[in-house]
Amino acid sequence: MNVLVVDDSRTMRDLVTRELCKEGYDVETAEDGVDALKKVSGFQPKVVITDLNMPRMDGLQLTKALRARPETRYIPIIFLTTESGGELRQAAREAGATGWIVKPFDGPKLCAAVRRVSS
Amino acid sequence: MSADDFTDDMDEIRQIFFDECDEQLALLEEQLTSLTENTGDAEKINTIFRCVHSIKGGAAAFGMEDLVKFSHLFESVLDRFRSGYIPVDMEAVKTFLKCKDTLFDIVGAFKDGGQSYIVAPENVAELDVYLNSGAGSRSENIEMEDVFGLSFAPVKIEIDPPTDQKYSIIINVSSQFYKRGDDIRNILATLSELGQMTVDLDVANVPLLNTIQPDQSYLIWKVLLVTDIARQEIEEVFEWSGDDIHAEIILLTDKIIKTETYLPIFDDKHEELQIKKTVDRKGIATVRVDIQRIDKLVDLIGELVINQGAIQSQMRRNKISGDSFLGNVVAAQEQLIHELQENVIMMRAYPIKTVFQKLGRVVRETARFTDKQVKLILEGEDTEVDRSILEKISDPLTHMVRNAIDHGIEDSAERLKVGKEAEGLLRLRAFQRSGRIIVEIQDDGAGLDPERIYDKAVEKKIIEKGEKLDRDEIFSLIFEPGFSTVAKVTDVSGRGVGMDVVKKSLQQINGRIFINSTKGKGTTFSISLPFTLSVIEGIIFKAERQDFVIPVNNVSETVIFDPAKAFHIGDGKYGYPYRDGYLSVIYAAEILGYRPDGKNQKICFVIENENEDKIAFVVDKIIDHSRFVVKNLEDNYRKIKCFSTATILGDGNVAFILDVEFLFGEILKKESPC
Amino acid sequence: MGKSLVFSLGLQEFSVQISAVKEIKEWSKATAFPAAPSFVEGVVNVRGAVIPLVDMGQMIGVSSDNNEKKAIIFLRNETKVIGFSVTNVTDISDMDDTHFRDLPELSSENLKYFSNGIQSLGERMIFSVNVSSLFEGSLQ
Repeated sequence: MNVLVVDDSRTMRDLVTRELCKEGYDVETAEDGVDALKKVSGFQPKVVITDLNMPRMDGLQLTKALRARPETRYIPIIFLTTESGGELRQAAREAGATGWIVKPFDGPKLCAAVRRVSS
Repeated sequence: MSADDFTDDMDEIRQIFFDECDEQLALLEEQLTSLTENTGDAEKINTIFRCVHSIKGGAAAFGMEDLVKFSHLFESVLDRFRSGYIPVDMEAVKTFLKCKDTLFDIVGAFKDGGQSYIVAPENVAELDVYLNSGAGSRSENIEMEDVFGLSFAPVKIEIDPPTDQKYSIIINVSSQFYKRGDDIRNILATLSELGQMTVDLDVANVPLLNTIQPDQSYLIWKVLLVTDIARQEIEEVFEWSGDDIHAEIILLTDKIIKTETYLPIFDDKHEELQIKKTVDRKGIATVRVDIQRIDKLVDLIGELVINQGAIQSQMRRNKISGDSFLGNVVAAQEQLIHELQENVIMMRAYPIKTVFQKLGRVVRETARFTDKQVKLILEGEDTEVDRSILEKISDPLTHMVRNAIDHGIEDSAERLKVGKEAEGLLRLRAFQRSGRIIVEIQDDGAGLDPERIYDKAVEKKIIEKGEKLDRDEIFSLIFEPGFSTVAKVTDVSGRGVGMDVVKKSLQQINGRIFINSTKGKGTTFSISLPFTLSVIEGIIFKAERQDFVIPVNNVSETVIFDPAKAFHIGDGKYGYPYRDGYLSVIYAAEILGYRPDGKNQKICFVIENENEDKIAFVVDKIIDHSRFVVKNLEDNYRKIKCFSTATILGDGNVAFILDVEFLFGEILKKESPC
Repeated sequence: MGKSLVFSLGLQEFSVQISAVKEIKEWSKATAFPAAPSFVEGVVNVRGAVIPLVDMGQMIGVSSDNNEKKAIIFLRNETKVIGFSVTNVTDISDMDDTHFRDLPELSSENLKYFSNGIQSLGERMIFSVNVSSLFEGSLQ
């Protein structure tokens, strides 16, 4: 199953990729929202995991953009971020985020989340 | 691929994290320094914030708590600037730079295998001030406690004893739930993982078909879950979806449970997931390669070049023309190998930025230490240099920057007295000139005082009193061992390392250093460096039946040598007319200890050093012009007079590469030009 | 004491510990360089590395200039590799303490510097050569 991981930090991309690969997912990565939008049509992910704060296009804008496109309207989007503030969370929810995981990064928790939105 | 395959690469990711930290810190520095000139740029602050944020994220993943704590604090402060609560001023930028240095240190501590790092309390205090000032500071205070109460990661508290409990969960969802890409089946599947689950679907609310609204949700799920996990975790499953889902969780006592018909669900789906275990790691845009592997690649291509030479010399021996089919193929191959070599060497090239940015810190620290005001200007940071060079210039540059501030730039009071700005200027500049990299360190300080240097040199017995020296020669005295312009050893630059060490370490990488200084106006040190140490373009020539290579950079012209025009100038030396003047002659054979017979010598290289001094270097014959892989003689032996390096020719023999600077320095019996 | 490589310089036999031996090659002419010590023949290329070639007999001072040189023994010490030309490589022998003797009192200072004793193997008499001394001597 295809999962698109969007994060401007290579460390996070690698960590997430590593965890998901362990579970047998096919992972594609993108550096920010712009990059992600470029990759969704080709890769056709079943789940998108995204960071919130990224250059060029952040997670909120990405979510809105994905929700606006017919082919990605219902794709589950999980935010993986250190932001725990309620306001941002609400903003993400309103933008159309499916789930929200607060870092620190926890592999099993992440995989559970992906299963949770994709099973 | 089994799960085991992933256990080892955690170290690798950790390494990537450190690499990324370095990149983020460099970017941070770049952005912060540009803030000085362009205060209040929102996008810059956001980038700065993101750098710190990235570091924090990774640090949390690796459990580097002290790094998380500090970056979180720093980030919180930055956030207040980002939100516009506090305007950015120079003081703030200074604080940020200090914080950046602290981050650098913490990262360094962890990189070196440390487990913890204690941040200087004044650094935290400085940040605290920002956290508590301006509008909207209350909420941040709460976060502060979070940071230093060590509870950044939420702690799971076990409330219920780990025995099986039975829960009844009644779920209904709003239409918004589906719009966010979620699916009730996901939640049910997640719940089913928590324990034994049965689900009943309540369709009582579903209206008649003609009144049904397609985007509305009318269903109610009634779940019975038998599990040993805490209620909290069940709540977490729903927490995600916020108001879009409503779940009523009731803990049932044993007597209430009397289940009717519940349908087990999604077992098949679950299996599907288990089966699909194909692993494909793709989409990593950059490949990180151990630098040793690239070095190995450079070496191998070096051997390829040597082999190529062997083919060509064999062709010459067998009189195979370059125009033949074979000749063309071999020539094409040579071109390919050269391109390959260039590309691989470029893989090792780094912008000089990495060194410059370290120096930014040196400047700040030294300025702080000496209580001087210094503004640093960086130019040409993107100039690329081979790693082999970069590694070796960091220390000498650090020392020179310290020196420039400690000895060059005056303190504010002194500067104001002589009509300068209170803030001293230090300019670091890198650029390319005729195949070499030039790095300049320029200060607008007091400048070098030739008289003082002269007296000092006499006092230190480096020169005799009364010795006649021109200005440049006097300046170059500061590179003499044991010379120091300031009698008092300061904490900053007087660490027993003198300019002589700087010069020596630069010479080791074929670098040269020049001084230009005006008393009262400032000093400029220029360092000239080769781009790489591993390949040179050179001319291979013969002298006394032995092959040598001379770097093409040093050859300004090649002329036919006419022995009749050489004239004796005493002490067994000769002069030779060149353009409208005369040059000293050195016979290549002399280097080998032969006395040139004047018959075989046919070619004269006009060679030139960095100071534009010229000599006529006479050889027997030019063989070829090519690129040569440089082999360091010191790897297995030691320094040799006249030659600092060697190369391997097509026939497998070693040829020495002429050290032109040595020729100028040693053979002309003149002090090395600096 | 472990295994040692036995070789000859002229008619005399010598040995070095086998662990320091990197490679043995047929002797070939080196590229000479100016101002080299008389016992340094020059440098040779061994698979891309430039390695100095030292005439061991001359350095130790036990053989005359015109000794036949048939082999080069490449030794490694720490990071450096140096080639030593010798008359011939004989065999590999086990060395043992019971047959190890000090050098005679009147041996030359040079020999004492490079060798730490004599191993007797039946009729044979083998000078044991110290690798780190060889390197120190060569790099002078």
